[in-house]
Amino acid sequence: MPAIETLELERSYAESPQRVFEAWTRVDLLNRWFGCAEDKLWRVHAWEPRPGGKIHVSLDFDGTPFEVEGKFLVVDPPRRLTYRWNEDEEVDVTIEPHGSGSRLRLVHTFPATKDIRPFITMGWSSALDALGAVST
Amino acid sequence: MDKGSLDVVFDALANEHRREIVMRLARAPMTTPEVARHFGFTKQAMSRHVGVLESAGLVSRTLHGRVHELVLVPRRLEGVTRWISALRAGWSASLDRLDEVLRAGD
Repeated sequence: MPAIETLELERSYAESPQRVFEAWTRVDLLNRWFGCAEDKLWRVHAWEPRPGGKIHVSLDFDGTPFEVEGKFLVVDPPRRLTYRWNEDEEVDVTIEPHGSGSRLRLVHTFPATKDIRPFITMGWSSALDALGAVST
Repeated sequence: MDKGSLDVVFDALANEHRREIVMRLARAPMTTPEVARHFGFTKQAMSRHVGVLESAGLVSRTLHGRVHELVLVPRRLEGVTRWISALRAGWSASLDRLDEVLRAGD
């Protein structure tokens, strides 16, 4: 069993893959959208989009400073961006032409550390659905 | 639920057998002999797994005559589900904002 949990999201954008890629790699643009919780944007201290380039962001989470470091693994404009996030997470962004715009696929991967394992097992989400039914 | 408490829940769930017990109990309560039979556990394995789940507060036990019945405590899982849904919500909001940034142009 691959000991990995992934969060996957897809979005379509009206702009070209070049523009979308730029929004991921230019800090002035990144500063306007890149967030953690719903309304919390990361403060970007380092964002060096080249293989091996450094990542360092932080934010103040309800009074507690929260920092994340990482590094870029794959930077292949305008199609792909992969970076390590914390020690053990990975974010993989793929951008493809889609009609006159683009489609973005984001995969956030966690290892099977103790914090993540509950989400790995197949059927887990259905168990949680069942739980929802139980708790109501 | 505080962070330490969440760790205990994650630790308890970091085991395939215990996750299966939780999933099974999510459907209906079970007695300890039923759990042992259903999963083919030895008595020792049974009490170990159930003990860990109990300590984490995920399962509670009531005595019916001479048989222990195990019931899931769903609210203990809220912290876990909140954690993953917070991540999803965070990314969703970010990718929506990205759309706004793209539309706004430079």
